[in-house]
Amino acid sequence: MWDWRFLFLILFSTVVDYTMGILIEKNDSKNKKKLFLWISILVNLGFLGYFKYSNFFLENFVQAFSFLGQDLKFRGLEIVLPVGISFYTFQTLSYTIDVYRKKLSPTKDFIAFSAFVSFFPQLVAGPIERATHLLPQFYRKRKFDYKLAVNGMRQILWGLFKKVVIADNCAQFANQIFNNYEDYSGSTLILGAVFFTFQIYGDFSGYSDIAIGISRLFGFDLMRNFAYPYFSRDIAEFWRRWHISLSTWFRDYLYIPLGGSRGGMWMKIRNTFIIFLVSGFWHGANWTFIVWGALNALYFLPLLLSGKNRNHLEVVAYDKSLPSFKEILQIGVTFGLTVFAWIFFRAENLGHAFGYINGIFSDSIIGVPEIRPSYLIALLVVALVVEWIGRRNQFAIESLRIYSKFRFHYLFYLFLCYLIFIFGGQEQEFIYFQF
Amino acid sequence: MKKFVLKIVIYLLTLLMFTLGINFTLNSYTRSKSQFDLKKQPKSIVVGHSHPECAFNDSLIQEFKNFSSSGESYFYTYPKLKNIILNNDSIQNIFIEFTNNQISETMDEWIFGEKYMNYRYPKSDAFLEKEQQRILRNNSPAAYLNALSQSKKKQLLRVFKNDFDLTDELGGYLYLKRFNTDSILKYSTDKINMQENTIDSFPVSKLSLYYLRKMIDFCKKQQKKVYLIRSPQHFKCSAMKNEKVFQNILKKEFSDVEFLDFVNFPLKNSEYGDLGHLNYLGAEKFSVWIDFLLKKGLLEKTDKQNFINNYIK
Repeated sequence: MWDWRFLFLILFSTVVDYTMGILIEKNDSKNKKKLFLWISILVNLGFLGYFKYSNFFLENFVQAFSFLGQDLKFRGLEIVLPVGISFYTFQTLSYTIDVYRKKLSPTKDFIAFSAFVSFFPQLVAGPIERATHLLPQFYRKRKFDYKLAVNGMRQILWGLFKKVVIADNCAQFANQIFNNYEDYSGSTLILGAVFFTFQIYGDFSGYSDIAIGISRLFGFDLMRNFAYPYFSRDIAEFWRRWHISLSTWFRDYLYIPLGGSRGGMWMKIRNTFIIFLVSGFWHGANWTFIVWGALNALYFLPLLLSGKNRNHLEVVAYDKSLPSFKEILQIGVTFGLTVFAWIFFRAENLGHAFGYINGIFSDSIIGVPEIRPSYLIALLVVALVVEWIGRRNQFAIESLRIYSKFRFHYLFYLFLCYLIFIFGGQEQEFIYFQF
Repeated sequence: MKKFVLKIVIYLLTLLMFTLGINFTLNSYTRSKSQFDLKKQPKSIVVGHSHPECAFNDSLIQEFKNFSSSGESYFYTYPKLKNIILNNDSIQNIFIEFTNNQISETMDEWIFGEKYMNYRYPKSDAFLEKEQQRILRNNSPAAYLNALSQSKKKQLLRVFKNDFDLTDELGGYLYLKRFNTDSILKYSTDKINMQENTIDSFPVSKLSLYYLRKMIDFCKKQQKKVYLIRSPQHFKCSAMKNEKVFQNILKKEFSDVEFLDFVNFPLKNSEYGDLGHLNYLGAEKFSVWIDFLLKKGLLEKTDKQNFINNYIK
């Protein structure tokens, strides 16, 4: 939620991290450096913890006491979650940690640092940038770069298509099915979970594309956040391609400090679980996100134990136009596992998630779904085909021109714009009685 | 930078042309394919807003169809009525609801207010006259753009599904399960004593009355019998406070059309959903009575109102 008073929150975080960065560099004592780093970590995570997780912890604390026979009365705190707090907290933390690790010299330019923390295209939902990558871009003078701007416009267009046409339409049906799951057959529930799978991808990767595209118009280069995750052949590949800025953040600032894959097998397993559970918890203060994280850790584990977690580093069928039968099967299985895990991500609570899964594995799992929005399925097929064709690029329509000798790509852009126009309007529900 | 801006401008202009081209094609295609043929061919129909929507239970009236719809102004009823009449030769008598709140200036909100336009426009876009499009565009450009986008989505989906049967979007009887009249009379201030509170001047929606006139003229041109009617409403309904202005407009502007007034049809409070609308009990009683009047030859009588009043007594 947005409220002007939250500006002070982001300003306070900015001032603290800017100051701590300078203090860390100035002081030679290792203990003092550590102290300043911990101040930065505690302030940032303190805010995040208070605004995002207070109610969750209080509620679970009360429930734990009730379980032990102590009936405590609990009224949730009325806390509003400031917009973008999960993202800019991690972004500023990366700065102080990198300064502490001597990967980066602290900036003396407060304006540049503030701009780095609050850079508008990616403030609300990422990509979570590293100070080492983004901050220096504020120091140099930027010139208008025609190619970069054109590329940015293309990426904005594709992002808008994914958000407005794919995600918002999938959301309509996913919400309908998830909110009334008891009324639908198993096959419809599967379709609902698939719609949510595309909704979250369209929504999040679409937003990232728009953010990256806008930044390009201003001459900034932001890191890639999604790389066709649904074409992954195993879960490890999926996590290298999904929300890359967060996955790599956790890798660099949590997994490696914990010991990473060094040490024994148990250490590897422990660290993997920690990473996935924390990642789940980062997404929201609910047990459903934690289960979602745990489930992904379980998916990941066999690959880790067998040393196959870095098998697929290139995008699928890199030198070919179509995947092999084996690759299709691998993609299908990975997609299926992901869809299953998303059920927990989307559910209101664990009861809802288990009820939904129960509904799927009922007698009605085989059969024609009650809801069949053929137009949406057609749009999804179009989106998937375009993403498949463009899978070697940073984003799907980056070099569409290569495939079109007769400049048909302009017509394709017009078609995309038109779809965005007609799917972009706010629908009005039936005006039930004007009296 | 110049090249970039120039290209963007050219692209936007092309996009505009492209959009206008597709919109035009979709409208023409929708118009040419749309079906308004009714399965049961009625002899009489009623159009209007929520009052007739709740009052005329057409399953109880022979050869009669209710096409009223909540919150529908004459502006949107006009293209709908045209399509119904042009596609159904059996229709001989058209009853148009004409009641106190339909002359009110608030009807303008029902025409180009955002939520009304968003709901009504996608249903009638292809059938609106140029003048109507201009009125909507000029009065509420942002809402118009949003409604236009909704309309094109709707049309495109119809093309995709090859479904052009629009008869299910025309309106119909609304079975109202509501018994709020007593509580409104007890607690609400939204009621009047007609004898004490009628007012002499009242802001009027000229646009609404203009489209009512267009409907009447169209019906006459098609050689159909057209009547203005007023459905029953509670005598304490606040909308009735403009009764003097209402009667004045009726005399001055619509004297060429017969007015059938059912406002005094005797109903108990329990037969009203609220002060302006009949619930299903009231609708049943009223519709059976209308059926009776029609069978008794109401429309052949010279003094129809007198005939009605006699039966009301």
